[in-house]
Amino acid sequence: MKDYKRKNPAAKSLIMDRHNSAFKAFCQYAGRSMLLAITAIPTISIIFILFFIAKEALPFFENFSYVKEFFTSTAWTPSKDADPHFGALAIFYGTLMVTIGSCVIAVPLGVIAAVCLNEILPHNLAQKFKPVVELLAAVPSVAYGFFALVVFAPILQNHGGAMMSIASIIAGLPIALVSSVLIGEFFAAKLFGKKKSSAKKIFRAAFPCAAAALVFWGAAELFNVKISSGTNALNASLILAIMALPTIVSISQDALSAVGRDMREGALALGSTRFEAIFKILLPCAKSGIAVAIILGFMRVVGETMVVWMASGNALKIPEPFYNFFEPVRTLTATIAGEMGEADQSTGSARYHVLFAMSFCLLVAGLLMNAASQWVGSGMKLKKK
Amino acid sequence: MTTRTRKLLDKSFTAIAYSSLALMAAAVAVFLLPIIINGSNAFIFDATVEHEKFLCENLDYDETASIKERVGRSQAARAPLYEMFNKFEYSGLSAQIERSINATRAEALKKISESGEEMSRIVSLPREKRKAAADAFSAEIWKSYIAEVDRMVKSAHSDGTSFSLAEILSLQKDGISDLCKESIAKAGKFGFSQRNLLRRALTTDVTAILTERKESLRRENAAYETFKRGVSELLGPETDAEKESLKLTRQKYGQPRMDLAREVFKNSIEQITIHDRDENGNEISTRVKTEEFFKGTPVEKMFSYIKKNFDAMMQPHYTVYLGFFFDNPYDSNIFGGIWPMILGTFYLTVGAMLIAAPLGIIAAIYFAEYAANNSFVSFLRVCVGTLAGVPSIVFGLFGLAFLINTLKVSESKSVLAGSITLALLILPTIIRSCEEALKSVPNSYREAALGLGAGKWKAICTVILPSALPAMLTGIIISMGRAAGETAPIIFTAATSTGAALAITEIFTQATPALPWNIYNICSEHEMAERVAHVQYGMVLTLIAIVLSLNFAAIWLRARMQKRTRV
Repeated sequence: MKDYKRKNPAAKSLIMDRHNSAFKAFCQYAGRSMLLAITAIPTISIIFILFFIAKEALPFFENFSYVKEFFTSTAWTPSKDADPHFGALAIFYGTLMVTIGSCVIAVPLGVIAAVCLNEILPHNLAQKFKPVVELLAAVPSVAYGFFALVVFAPILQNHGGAMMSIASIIAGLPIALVSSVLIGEFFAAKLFGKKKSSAKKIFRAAFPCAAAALVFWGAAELFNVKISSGTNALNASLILAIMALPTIVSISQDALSAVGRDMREGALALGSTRFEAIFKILLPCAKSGIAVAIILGFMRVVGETMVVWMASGNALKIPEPFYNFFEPVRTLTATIAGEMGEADQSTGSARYHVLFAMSFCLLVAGLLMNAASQWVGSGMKLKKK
Repeated sequence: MTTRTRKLLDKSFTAIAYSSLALMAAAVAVFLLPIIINGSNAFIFDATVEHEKFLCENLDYDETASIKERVGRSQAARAPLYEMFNKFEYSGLSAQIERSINATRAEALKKISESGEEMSRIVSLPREKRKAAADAFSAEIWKSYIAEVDRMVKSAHSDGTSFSLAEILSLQKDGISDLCKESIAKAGKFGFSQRNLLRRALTTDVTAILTERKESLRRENAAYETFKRGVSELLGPETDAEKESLKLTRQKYGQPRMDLAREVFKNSIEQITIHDRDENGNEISTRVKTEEFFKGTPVEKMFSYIKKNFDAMMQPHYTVYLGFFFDNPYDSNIFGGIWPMILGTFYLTVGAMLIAAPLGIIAAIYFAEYAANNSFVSFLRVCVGTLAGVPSIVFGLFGLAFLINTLKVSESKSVLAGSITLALLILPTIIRSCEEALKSVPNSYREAALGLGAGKWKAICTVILPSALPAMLTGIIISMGRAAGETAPIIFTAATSTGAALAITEIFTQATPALPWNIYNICSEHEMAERVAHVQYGMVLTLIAIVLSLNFAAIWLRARMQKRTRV
């Protein structure tokens, strides 16, 4: 053995040597612990982030009267020296409004696009479309904000009514027609039974006509809407929806492609159309994955700063009436970004702490949503097993 | 449900699904097209001679023969205009005007001193008749004087002497009361109250008329001043001495771009704003057309000269100004390029990468190769996911509260603090993509390496990492693009709105301008947003180009990798 080693020094490392192994084991142990220490950095950062944000927010939360005002009042004058007010209700409401608005647009669109990419489009075409989704995801948020503020806001302000009425016709007419045909058929079956008759035909035809009339009436109403400012909740919601789309599309697509081939084939073999297979089999199977996608898209919208700062108008009031998307609003993130610059010189001021309190709320919301997505996601995995 | 409806539903759903994809593609196009078109306009544009003057004088560009020739031509075209201005303002006619007005005034005063009887008759009238008689007398006396003034005002309009005439009229108005007093004293002996009465009667009307004539001239003169300001905004100051006296770069030069020059011509020369007072004394401003307002005056000639010789004065020609990317900005981005912002973004991105990539790769190795399947490891994994879900603005606040206020990595904002914050932000993405890459290495590679006698670490270093490298690089490059575009984390940790390009040694202590933050700043907080529209678009295009080229590099790398594994 020793001869062999002497002759071939290169083989030295390949041969176990008792003398060497204790040192080696120590090295391995040290190396592994170092790896573990580095791996723990995200965990440590999370703990530090929670600790430091909470530490800076604590002086604000200690004063109970402030906290009550924080969640219930809309008076926001944190820079006043005497008698400052910290009512952030309007800001919370603005965040909620923009988030809901963008989710209403992004969720149906994103899920349908994912279905289309995964189920309808041939695989190679879907592959070619992938860069579009990735491009939407890659564009920096400040560029979206720039687009909203410089390009989109003036158009919305000057031609908002016309734009919306055209959009409502393009998007609303097909959906209204299809759903009215369905409803008409349902009632026709109830009223007239299975027999064919001209009365039934007329009855059924009346529904699409009424739906089309309704859509055109709505479009005409929208045409006359005057928008006082191009930077408003609608603008921010639209752009945020575009930002949330890639997240929703790609994660829903993953969830859909994880559904087994047997499900699809079984549904089609039993005589369902592709639509029925998708709606009755595939989407229920993938629903927890889609829920994760929606939560993650929601998180991206809530945490987004630049777009809402630039596009939402930053008005400190609850819109009148409360569902009016043409009014400017203000969100938590925009308030933090906009006011911290004026507050951080006077570290320790009430304004500084209230902004940290806001970011603490954001952080907690983020953690909760993350936990929800983990929980839903783990449910999905369990089911698969 | 009948089969027909089911088919209809199926078809319409397919159509809706296709149109959702079309909508996304359309969104990309609608978003990118204006940015690409207007953004390239920032460095490929129709430049005027002022652009070259600025470059040669401030940024040490070579003054080539062709530039000299164009400067010379533009000066030749501008010379007649400046001559017109001079002639208008320093008219040789003013002395003559003063002389003729003074002559008529002397006549009127003489008339006063000669009509003592008339005046004593007026004074002796009963009170109610006295006023009318005094007014009639005053009108009679000043008739020719006022006619002369009116003639002058009228001709001033076309002679271009309104400047000097306004001055003369204001002097006349101030002097007239004393002169009347003297003449009345000459005319005869009146009591104190009678003298005052006569003087008031004689001066009130004429002063009012003079004031009114002067005001009408002043309005015209103010309009002329506005017009001239517009011209100097277009062409820059006339002489070098004037240029030296101005502080801001935007005042030292005319419009450097033809589109801006046309805009200025339309807004400040073709139409001008006139400030008036309405009956309540509130200031109102009205827009008037220069051509109509100055009809029949020398200013109209100036205007038509400018209109006719616009191109000769500006000397437009197409340039590709690559200095937009490599020059320092001047006068809040109105002139010059965006180099400090590009450099700042580069520092921040590379800094974040240098911190996050090694950490991320090591953590991924641990997760993929070493981690046992126990609850502690899954807790670590959950934390990675949680870190990815923290809003980016919270990272910024954390950087402020922890790195700057507690650890004091630097006095105030610095590139280092920003890089660390960005590194934390992209760490989860890097860990995940690297872990995926490591997991996609086939197990046979590991087994073969171990089977050949390599230790675990050796197997990782020599076999698994190299084969996973392209996929890992893909993830790292994509997160680099994300770091380059993030704004919220650097607002409080690294970014300033103005500042010079940093040297490499300053990154530990100094804040830097960076593209994302400056885009926000130049859009929302710039005082002359319409003059820097091209810079706004140019900056956004640059940022998007950086981020997308990183992404396309990643996509290309991935495609190449897929091809390789397929073979």
